[in-house]
Amino acid sequence: MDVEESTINLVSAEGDSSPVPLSVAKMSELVRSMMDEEAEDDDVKEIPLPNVKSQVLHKVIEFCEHHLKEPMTEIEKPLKSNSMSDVVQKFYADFVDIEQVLLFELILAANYMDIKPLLDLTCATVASMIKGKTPEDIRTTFNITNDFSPEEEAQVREENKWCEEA
Amino acid sequence: MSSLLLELPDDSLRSVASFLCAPDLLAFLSSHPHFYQLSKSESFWRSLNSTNSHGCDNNNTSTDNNEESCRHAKRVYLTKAYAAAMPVIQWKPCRSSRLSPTGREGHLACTMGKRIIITGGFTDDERIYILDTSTGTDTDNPNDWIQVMPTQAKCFRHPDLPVPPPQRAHIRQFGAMAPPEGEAPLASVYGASLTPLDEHRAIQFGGFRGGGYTGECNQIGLLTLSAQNNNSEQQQQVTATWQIIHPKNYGIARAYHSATLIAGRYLLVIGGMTDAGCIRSESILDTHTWTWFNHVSQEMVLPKPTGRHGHSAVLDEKRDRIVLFGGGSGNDLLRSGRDNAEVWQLRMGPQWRNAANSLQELQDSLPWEWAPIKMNTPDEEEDDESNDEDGRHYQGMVDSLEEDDTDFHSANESDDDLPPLEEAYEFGNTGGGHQNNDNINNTNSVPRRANRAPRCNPLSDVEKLSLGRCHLGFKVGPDTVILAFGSGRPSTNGVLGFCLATNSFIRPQLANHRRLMPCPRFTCAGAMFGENNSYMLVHGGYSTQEGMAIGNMCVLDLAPALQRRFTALPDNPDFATYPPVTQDDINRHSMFGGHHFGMGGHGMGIGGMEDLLQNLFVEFAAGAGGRGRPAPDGPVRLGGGRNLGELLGILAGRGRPADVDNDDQEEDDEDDEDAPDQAMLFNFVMQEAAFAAEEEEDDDDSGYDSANISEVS
Repeated sequence: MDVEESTINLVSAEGDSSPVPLSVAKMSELVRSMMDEEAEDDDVKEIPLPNVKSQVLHKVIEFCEHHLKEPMTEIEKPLKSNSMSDVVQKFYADFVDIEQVLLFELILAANYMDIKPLLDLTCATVASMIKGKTPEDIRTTFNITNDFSPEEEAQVREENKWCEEA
Repeated sequence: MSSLLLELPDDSLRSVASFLCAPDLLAFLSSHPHFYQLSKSESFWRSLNSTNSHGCDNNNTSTDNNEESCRHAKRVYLTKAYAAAMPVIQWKPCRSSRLSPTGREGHLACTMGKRIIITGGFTDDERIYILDTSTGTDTDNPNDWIQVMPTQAKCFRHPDLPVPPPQRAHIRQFGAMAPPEGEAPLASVYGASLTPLDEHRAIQFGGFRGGGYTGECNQIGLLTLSAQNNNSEQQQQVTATWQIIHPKNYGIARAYHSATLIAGRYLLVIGGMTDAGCIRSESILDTHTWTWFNHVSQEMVLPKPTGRHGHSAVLDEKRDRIVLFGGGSGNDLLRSGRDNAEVWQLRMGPQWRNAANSLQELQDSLPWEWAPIKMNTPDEEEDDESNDEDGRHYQGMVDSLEEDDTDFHSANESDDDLPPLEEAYEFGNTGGGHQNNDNINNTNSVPRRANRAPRCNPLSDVEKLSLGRCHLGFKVGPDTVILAFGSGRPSTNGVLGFCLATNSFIRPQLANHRRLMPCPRFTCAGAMFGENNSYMLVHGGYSTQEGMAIGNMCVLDLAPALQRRFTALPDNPDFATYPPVTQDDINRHSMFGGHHFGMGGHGMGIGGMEDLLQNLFVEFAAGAGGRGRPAPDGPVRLGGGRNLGELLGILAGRGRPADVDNDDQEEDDEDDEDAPDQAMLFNFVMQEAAFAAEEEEDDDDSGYDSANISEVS
């Protein structure tokens, strides 16, 4: 049997502990820096992540594990397509084919744990949901209430108008 | 329950924003006050503007509350976005002053820092015209051109070159450019290229020395601008210096080629025209060691573009390639060859990115590989975005080629027998009925074009003119190219965009307000300038409609929606607008030009006849004590301001009554018809030539170097 890569336990908000290979855990800059800080201490085996729920943490770990096997292609800016499968490999496109709530929690987790590729993927996914839409469509898509007064809205629209038509 | 989107930290929202294109971003910002608030911070726009935007701004300067700087940052973003997407454009005609460049064609323009340079072309005017654009935009004081008479520095010889034989000193009568003892002066040329190396230096290469598209050269001139502050005044005194470079290895002489700077150092020269027709070879000049490399792509590997001139080529760093647009064929811009609307890419080996500091890396990246680009229509989402399989793509390209060129290609390819590198491509194509058929297709191609494959090139015949010979082609942003003017018969005043990210064309619309269009032209000079290259200056060129080289200037605003005030040059309220070029114009011209004056390869068609006449005229003029060099304005000029092409055109019109519509069979019999025309033409043109030579002798005080014709005197 191969020498097992040492593992580390990531502890979710609920207190669930997930054993993860070091290389996977270190995709998170947060984890990496915590490891570095306590490098002398050999017995750091647990990293508490009080901001990340178990369900989200599992997704994050799934992402990181896959990323080591098949790194995600860099997503071109601006997005070329509304469909994530046109911009990243199938695994990643499927990965973000999820409920909005989970998607946003993933963004928060990626932001907190500082995992750049995951942040790119999830933010690009949100962008793909915005792409090609009017402000009304955007509000409908994300269930946002219109907090502008009609006057405000008219002014904001005028200020942020894109001239397509001659 | 309100959306979690509102609860994302600003950093994440910026990251989301960084993936949006400008219209989507603006819609997003308008959808909720929280997002709108984001747009009130300068760092938001700055992070979007930084080239490798990561969605968060690492700059520690947090002077966010400055409304003015925020608005500025937003405008920079929008200028870039408009220039890249090119939805709407607007022409701004500029008034010429007595300091503006005079009318000419085949001349040079480039932007060096904040200055636009115009010089050279078919003229004896050696002055460098400089426009400072830094103070003019958005102020009330329009700028004017300044004229600088360049001096000539001692030439540079590559140390490996043998010592040159001693030369007779030249004395020039109008000798502001008198070169150092023992050196030939920089020859005035037209159809050369001028490529900026940095803010102060630009490199000129090639061009024709003689009229009638003769005397191509491989001259390299390094132009250096320097500015000194003139005592108390703020005005800067600009001086210009030419230095002739004698490089190591041989540079292939050519004109109307493309010259593209790669890695800030290597000048990639593609194609061009010689006395005998167009060529297709690529060469690289290293401007650090002044050495030519003539093996850029593999010689015997297809696909490859055919020989061409008047094309444009841009560096697409993001995708490790050079993209080449259109061009034409023939040995004469006005009377021979065809225009094409192809798009090709020259894929550079990945090492090119490290080549800035190492010549070895560049050499390791060679050979580079040509591949045609499949064109996607702007409306249709691309069905396969991989750019990597040659076979399939080439197939796609053949579909999208112009009819005539498709035949041409497959004909040459199936032979599997490439002409030698420098052989003019169309010469291999002139014999037999093949050419004839091509030309007829060209004239009446509409019905056949309609039932082509669905993935065909979506451009209309009129739009294709913007890719024809001697168009302007410039990179606007990292993903966008602008293509304007071009083609000889007729020329166009249209503008097209090309998106490098999607390999698709962009069709910009003219802004409603003051819907002006400049005179159609080709072989004009142009340069991009202003913030984010969002303005294009166009000067001069040859107008087939006017039948002469013109001198007017126009500026194209790529972001008229921002309603910027452009005052780098004075506005011209009296500007005459021109109608857009139409299919009718094309049909009318293809009667004379496209078909009748197409390459005459059989026996002696009009083309061969015309060459003979030109030669005769040149010899005749020289022999009559005229000049060693043909007249300076236009391709060989004859009396009364008419040139050969017009005379031939007039005659052809006379010889061929207005049977435009049913000329199908007629064109087949064309060869037989030519004979009487030619005799008549010959007499007529010779008379004109004699008359012109007389006239010229009278009013010509010979400002020319007399050394060339010393045998005569």
